[in-house]
Amino acid sequence: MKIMKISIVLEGYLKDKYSFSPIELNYSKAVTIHKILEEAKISSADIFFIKVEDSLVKEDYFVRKSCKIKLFPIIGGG
Amino acid sequence: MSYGYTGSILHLDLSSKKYWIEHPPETFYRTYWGGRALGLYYMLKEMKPKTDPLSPDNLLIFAPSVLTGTPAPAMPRYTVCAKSSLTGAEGEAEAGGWWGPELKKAGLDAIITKGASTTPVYLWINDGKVEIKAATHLWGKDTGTTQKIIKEELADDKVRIAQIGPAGENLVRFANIVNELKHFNGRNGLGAVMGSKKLKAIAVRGTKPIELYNKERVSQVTKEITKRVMENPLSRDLRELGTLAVVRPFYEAGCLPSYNWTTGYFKEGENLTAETYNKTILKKTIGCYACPIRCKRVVEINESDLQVDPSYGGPEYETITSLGSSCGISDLKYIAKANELCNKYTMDTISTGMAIAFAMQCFQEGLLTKEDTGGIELTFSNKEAMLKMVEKIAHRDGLGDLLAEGSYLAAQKIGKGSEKFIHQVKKQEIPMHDPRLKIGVGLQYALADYGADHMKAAHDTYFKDKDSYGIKEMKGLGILEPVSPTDIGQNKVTLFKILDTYWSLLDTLGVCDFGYVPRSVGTMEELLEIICSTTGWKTTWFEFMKVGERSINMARVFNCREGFTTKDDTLPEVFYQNFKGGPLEGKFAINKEDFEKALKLRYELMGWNPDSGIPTSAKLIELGLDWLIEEIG
Ligand code: SF4
Repeated sequence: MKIMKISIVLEGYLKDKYSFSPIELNYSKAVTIHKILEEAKISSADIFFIKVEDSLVKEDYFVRKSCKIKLFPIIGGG
Repeated sequence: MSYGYTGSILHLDLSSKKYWIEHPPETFYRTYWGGRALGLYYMLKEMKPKTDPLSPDNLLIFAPSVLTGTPAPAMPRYTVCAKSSLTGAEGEAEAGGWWGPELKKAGLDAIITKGASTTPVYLWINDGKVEIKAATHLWGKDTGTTQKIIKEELADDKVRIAQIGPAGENLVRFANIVNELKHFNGRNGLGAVMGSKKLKAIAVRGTKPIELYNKERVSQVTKEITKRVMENPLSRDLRELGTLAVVRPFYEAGCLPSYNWTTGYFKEGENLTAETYNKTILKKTIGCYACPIRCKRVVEINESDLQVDPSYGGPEYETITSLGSSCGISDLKYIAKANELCNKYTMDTISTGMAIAFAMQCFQEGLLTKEDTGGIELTFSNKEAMLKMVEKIAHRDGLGDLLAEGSYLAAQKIGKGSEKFIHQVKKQEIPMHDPRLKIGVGLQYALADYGADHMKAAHDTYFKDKDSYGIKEMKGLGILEPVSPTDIGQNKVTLFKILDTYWSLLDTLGVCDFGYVPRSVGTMEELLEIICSTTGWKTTWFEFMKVGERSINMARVFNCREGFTTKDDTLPEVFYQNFKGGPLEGKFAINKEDFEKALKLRYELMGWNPDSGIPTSAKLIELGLDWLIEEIG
């Protein structure tokens, strides 16, 4: 399998907390978002929505090709 | 010696222009503390059931708390209570800013007004001295002009003014009350009650210090919290992106309320994000009294065809969505203008936006025509039309007169099936958080005594994971296990019983939800420390949770007395349907049966009769509210 390039884009306060620039990870086989978060040391507790390209997905979603993953933080009302 | 409170409550009869000062004992303050509990105490004691909200018999109460004005973070708030002109239920709304602390420094813990003046008046409280002054020359004036005239008249630029604009005078049922032109007692139409009393404003000036039991300790804890504001991602986010931080996740996920709740998918959502807002219209951020978080937005626009005055602050998330995407509008500048107009005239922006969105849908479906709108092409996305409707509602002009009654009553009048286009609980328009993705918020919408409200508990997302901030920081209240935001089982119900009680406490104490866990930087331990050091009372979270519960039960009894039943604890039908359009298409309808089961369990957990929702005598006795047993028969 070709190397997959996964780019993680952090939104809102996740940028402050984890990284201002996109995080890049490489994989040689299909991998769950859960695993990706674990390796990027990003806590699920901070994540409300996960978007892979234009679809909303859950943490058990398998990434099978290079893509951009957007992570949106949990935030409440006001 | 009393600490935190002054020991004086002003009673004012606007009909006779007589007033007197009550000096309640310490036990009164330790039982009711201030805010909503203090307001409800007088409403239950002094107002007859079924009072017309716009009659002189309604009370209008301004109540800070024993903490308001403490120089600790996020404690500037005061509550205004009355029977609501919008819902006919218990009405209350909290405002930040500077007015509450100033009232305390002027030597008063609360103002209880009743009756109605025959001519417009304003109240001038100068270090405890009370004066009722003519306001005929102010009637009809917007808030900026009124503030300027009163400050000139009193020759004091430091006077703090809570007031109504023309919408309050015109009895718009969702008129609000503003202090310092940008801090609102927003919902429930309390501004209309103030208008019905012909009370234009309350100007306050206070120079007395608020006595604290242990000033050094309060200042130490304040410093510790302040130091962490920019380190804590949540409080830093409040400063940098404000409440608008939610726009991007909501629009990208497809749950940004749009086109009168017909979809959560708003193609132009990028135009409404906090990032766009900061780049295009934000002038600066400001804070309330003694608050280091500084989350409030101030905007300014100076274009040849559109100006927005920074004195009126700037739109928050709820406003951006209700006057924006709900009306199909993505031009931030027009939304900022609508926000400025609402602030000048004193109208709640959620209800205003939702009333206009409702009328737009009626227009689209042919239930309203150009004849009804006075020639306005009231289509979704027509930003000029939206601005015109804001003006018309405030002045009760043409169709604006009908919408000024609130969308529920407007739909009753229009008929022809328009009822299905309104989204309300207890006649109050629903706020801009979709409960299909945060069902606990839905429970709170349904149960809120004062009609749908998004600030009646923390949102589900803070408790979704074992490492969530809410779980980590609130174990002391017994919150130990995470629950998924879309879960509606017994764990969610028990979680929200605790959160409702905690929030009710914050609203009783005048503490801003954005200052403390789970929404922000201050911890529960620090909050306890501040309370003990302010009052000198050796207290615990056990006592606080009882205070929160007491307020909830008083509000419930008030509503039972007014004829509200479990049938009024509902959610709009739209939330029992799947999302339409966007990434969430076809998903997440709330199961009605499960939701009703959850409500029933909640009644039982509260110590209320599961069928009638009425507090049991035992619950009232437990909370020291035995004097209310007769009220519920
Ligand atoms: S957190 Fe924001 S709204 Fe709350 S008191 Fe501070 S500045 Fe005011």
